[in-house]
Amino acid sequence: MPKMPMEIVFDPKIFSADAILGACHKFLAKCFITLEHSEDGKRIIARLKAREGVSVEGLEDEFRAETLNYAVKQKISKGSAKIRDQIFHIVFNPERLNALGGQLQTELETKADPDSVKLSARLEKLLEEIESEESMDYEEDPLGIAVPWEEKHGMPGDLLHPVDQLKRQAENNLINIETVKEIVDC
Amino acid sequence: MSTVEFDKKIFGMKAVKSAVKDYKGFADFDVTEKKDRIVVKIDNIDYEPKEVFLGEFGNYVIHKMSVRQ
Repeated sequence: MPKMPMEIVFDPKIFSADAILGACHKFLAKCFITLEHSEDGKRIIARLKAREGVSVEGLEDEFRAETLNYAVKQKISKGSAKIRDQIFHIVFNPERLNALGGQLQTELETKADPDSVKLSARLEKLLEEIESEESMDYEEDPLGIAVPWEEKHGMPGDLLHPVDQLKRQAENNLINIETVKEIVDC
Repeated sequence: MSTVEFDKKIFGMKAVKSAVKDYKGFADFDVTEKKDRIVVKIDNIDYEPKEVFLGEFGNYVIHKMSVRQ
């Protein structure tokens, strides 16, 4: 069983204090933690003392893994900070967004890329078609969607009226004739 | 009286003072600075066991630091 408090040493050149603090935050419910630099200032020492009822098995490995996780997150975050800032700046600045939109439009127009011109013309045509269809009254029903099937194709030869169907079933002794009479009289 | 020390290179004075503010109902605190350390002297702790209280206070400062990030 590991000795308590458990000492975990980190190289600050690899793991920043912020990354270690982030990992510590995840372990606050499991242990009491203290953090400090070594006397020569070349290492950061985390001391973990497990709370009552918390298993210490694998605690060090878990803590090291979490610190590594935070360090990687931090590195990625630093690497993409500039792009992220630019995106936020554009998104939350309507003037800049409009200016950028206008700039893109003029660029497209000036470049006059034949493919984009074709695509744009096709899109406009499609939009016109949709608009003209939308203006049509639904009662006109040009495709005949609202016409009942029987009207379109006629009644099938062997399709009987429900009452006739019952009568036929009674004739064939499939159901009681009295029941059929009752239903028909209703 | 008990003392808890925080490494100035890791912990900020604001976080320590903020934690003291939240814990002042349980004990008397005195915060001072010494070279590379923030020293918190804690007296009249109204919580048992005292060791747990000190541990919780240290954890709370870590929490404050993480939230500030």
